[in-house]
Amino acid sequence: MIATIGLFAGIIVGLLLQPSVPLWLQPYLPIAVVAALDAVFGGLRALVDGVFDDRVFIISFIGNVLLAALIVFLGDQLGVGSQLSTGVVVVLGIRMFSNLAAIRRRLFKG
Amino acid sequence: MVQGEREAPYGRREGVSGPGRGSGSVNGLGTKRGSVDALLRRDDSMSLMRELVTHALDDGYAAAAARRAGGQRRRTRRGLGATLAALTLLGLLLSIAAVQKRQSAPAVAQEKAELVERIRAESARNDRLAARADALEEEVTVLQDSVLTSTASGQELRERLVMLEAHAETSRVAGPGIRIIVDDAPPDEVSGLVDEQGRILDIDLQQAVNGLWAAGAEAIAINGQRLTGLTAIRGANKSITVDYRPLARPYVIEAIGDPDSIEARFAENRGGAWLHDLQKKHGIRLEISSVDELTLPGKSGNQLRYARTEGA
Repeated sequence: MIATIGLFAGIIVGLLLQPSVPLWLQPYLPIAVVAALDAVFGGLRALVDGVFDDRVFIISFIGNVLLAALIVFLGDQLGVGSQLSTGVVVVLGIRMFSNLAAIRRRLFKG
Repeated sequence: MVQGEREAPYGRREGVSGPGRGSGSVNGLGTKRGSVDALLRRDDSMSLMRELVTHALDDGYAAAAARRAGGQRRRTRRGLGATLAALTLLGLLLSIAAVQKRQSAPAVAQEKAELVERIRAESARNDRLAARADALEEEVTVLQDSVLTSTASGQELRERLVMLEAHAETSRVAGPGIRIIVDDAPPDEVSGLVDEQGRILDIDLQQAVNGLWAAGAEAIAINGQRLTGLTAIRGANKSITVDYRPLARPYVIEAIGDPDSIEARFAENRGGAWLHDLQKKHGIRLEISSVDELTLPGKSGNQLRYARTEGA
């Protein structure tokens, strides 16, 4: 419950301040969002399954975001452009869907 | 395994994943187990996907749960705070990304508009410079004339120059002639559809121009662009270019020639027949009129390709 408050607080702060993202950071933003979402869905599923753990969640969250940024950076440096990040989006997307499916099964079937 | 294969080469293979892939252990486990195993093995390349779906939840959670079950349960205030911070960060990321997207969309459109603006400004500048070049060329001609007329040999030279310039199409010419206006067929009045066949192509203008030359035209211009022996009329995508400059519709072809005969001769020859055919079949717009006085600009920007000194 408190966690959702944090989420909304973040959204509201972002909307109010409208911080401008420095140009060098802009390519990393979308993929970081996807990676963070994946970590959050993982955490949500763990919560539903009753195995949620703060430390694991924080580490997976930060690790996901950093790894996603690193992959975008690598893709840029290697000259493959957005193809590497497409791979990241596909993999994380599949994970998010299967996590969400697990949450749904647990919530609705009981 | 080798022996087994020899005994029943086809029957066994069914269950095994394929030649060269089945290992001894698969066969050793019996037919039923073997086939299930082989099914799993067959999609070895899909193991990443399988892993993704079956291990969607971070293994760390299970490990942590096991540790807690071991007795050291601790749910600290700090951990909750960190979770809160992470989620706040996510919210921030989400809203920033959304705001960013919203802000950059008009920026892209604006950039495009700026580019269009720049293209317009540059082409206007181009036109101005071309006009200035024409004026300067005119001035050069006048000055050249005044120098040449001062001497007897110059006089002769000037006459030759005038004649040659008329052939080279570099000087402005005036005289009677005909004006032909051609344009794409208008869209169908009922359906509003444009007949692709009724579109004027580069070859139509080429045929018309060739017909005019054959009908005795001395000078021809399309939309104010003088044609020389080296001018190309070509199609570039959907527009027609003359000397690599795109034309705007409608196309106005002006030709100077003998006013008594050029129109009739043009109507009789291939160029005229081509246009009349198009008008009959596809309904292109075609207006031919004779004009008493036409002034065609000289061809500017001609490069000097060959020269020699006088008397050489």
